[in-house]
Amino acid sequence: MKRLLAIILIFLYTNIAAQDYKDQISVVQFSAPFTQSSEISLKNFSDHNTHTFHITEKGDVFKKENITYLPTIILFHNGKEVVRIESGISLKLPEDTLDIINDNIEEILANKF
Amino acid sequence: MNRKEKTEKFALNSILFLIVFFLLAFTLSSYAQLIDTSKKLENKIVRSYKVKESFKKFYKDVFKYSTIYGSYSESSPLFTPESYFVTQLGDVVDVSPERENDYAISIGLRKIARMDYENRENRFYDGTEQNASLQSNIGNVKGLEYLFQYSQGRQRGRDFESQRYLVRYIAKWWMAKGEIQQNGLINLDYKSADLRFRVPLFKKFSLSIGGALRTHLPYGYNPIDDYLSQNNWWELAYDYGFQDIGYSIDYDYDGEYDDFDWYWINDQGDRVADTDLDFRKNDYTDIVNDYNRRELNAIGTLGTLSGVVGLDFYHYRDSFWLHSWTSIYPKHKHVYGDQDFSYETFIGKDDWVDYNLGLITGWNVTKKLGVFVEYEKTKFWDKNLVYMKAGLNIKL
Repeated sequence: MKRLLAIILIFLYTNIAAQDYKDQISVVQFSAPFTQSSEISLKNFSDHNTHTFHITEKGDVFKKENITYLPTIILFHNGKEVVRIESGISLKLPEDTLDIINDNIEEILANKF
Repeated sequence: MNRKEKTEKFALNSILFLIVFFLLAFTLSSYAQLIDTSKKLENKIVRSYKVKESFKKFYKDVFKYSTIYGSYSESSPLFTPESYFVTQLGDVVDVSPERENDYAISIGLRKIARMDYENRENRFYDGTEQNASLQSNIGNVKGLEYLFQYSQGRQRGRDFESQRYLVRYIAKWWMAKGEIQQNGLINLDYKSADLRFRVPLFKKFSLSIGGALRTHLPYGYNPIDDYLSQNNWWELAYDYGFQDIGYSIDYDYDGEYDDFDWYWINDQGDRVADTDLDFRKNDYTDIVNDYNRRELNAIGTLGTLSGVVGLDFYHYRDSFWLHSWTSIYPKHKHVYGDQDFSYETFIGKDDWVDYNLGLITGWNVTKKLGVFVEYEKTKFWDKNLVYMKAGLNIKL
């Protein structure tokens, strides 16, 4: 019985608790202290989950998500990557970053109705 | 409808109106802030532009993703075996009831987000949709959701009319829900208004606390029980125009009666039952149902205000999802209708526990093996409803 309970707990932890930054609609900004000036404000997406990770604090997440440029913004929906916007070697995000994210969120929402 | 019923209906409708008004006022106020005309320096064009933009935003937030729908469906009735009657002369008469086609007409306006595990049943809305999210205290989107639907038709030979009006607003720290449901198919007439504060916990949990006003029939009270405790059963039949006529039976033709019984006639003098038992099995059940319905209608609708605590959890991934919800109503107050027939009076306390809880989970164990469980249990007053579905899928 204890073994079964342990298995259920491990299963729930690995399935539910892990990777919660990808839950539902999540806009995640991957950055670093030295690229802070290039970050964009995620306030526009306050109806959804937003996270800003710095490589100095969450290096493992950067590795897992295969982040190669800073800053990078990824829109996740229920654990899946929907769109990735990278700054490239200029260290600047494209000007239409907000529009791209908004368009994708619109599409996700439209599919829920 | 008597004056008392009218007053009760008015009171309830007023409360529901206030909730809807509150929701709309809240929505509108957020736009009003944008239309701050206090800046006198702004010229007319700018103000006009702002007003236009605000209404555009209002329209977008209220009606975006909503669908107006109308549908008509018709289908053959369910199969019923033929029935035949053989006359005394040996003729066979087909007495199978003639069934007309079932049909339904629905019109509605809806903006309800499906949970991620719910597939859209049809490409088009037709009014038959069921959404699990309507039972829980979290939706798949924040903000305003609503459903206004009217249906009428015929099913299994019975004409019906159904209406459902629901408005729900889920904000980060509070939620409100008003619902009116009248379903002629299952004789449901239910109104409720629910206002709660909510606290999101660890992103996936939502704890809520507040109050709910629910209308209901006088549950727990059975008028016929009351009647029969003071009267003989046949007296009710007399009141409905039936008469019993006694007779005796001599089974063995020995000139002595072995048994006795009563046959029954209706108010037109037609013989409707040969014995008391025959009468109670057939006509009397209709009398009891009619009596109960009349007495309950005379009492009218009752309203109970209850404290409510809810806990919801939602997690979704394509391979595993878990959605659970609980609403517990531990404390109650009768707020309108005849107090003598309130459930509070019936059970002699105001702290019985009503609840609604549900769990929907699915797990794609491998690409070819999946299991799922759906469970919902509701205990409101003396009514218990359970729904359960579980199964597995193996793809070959």
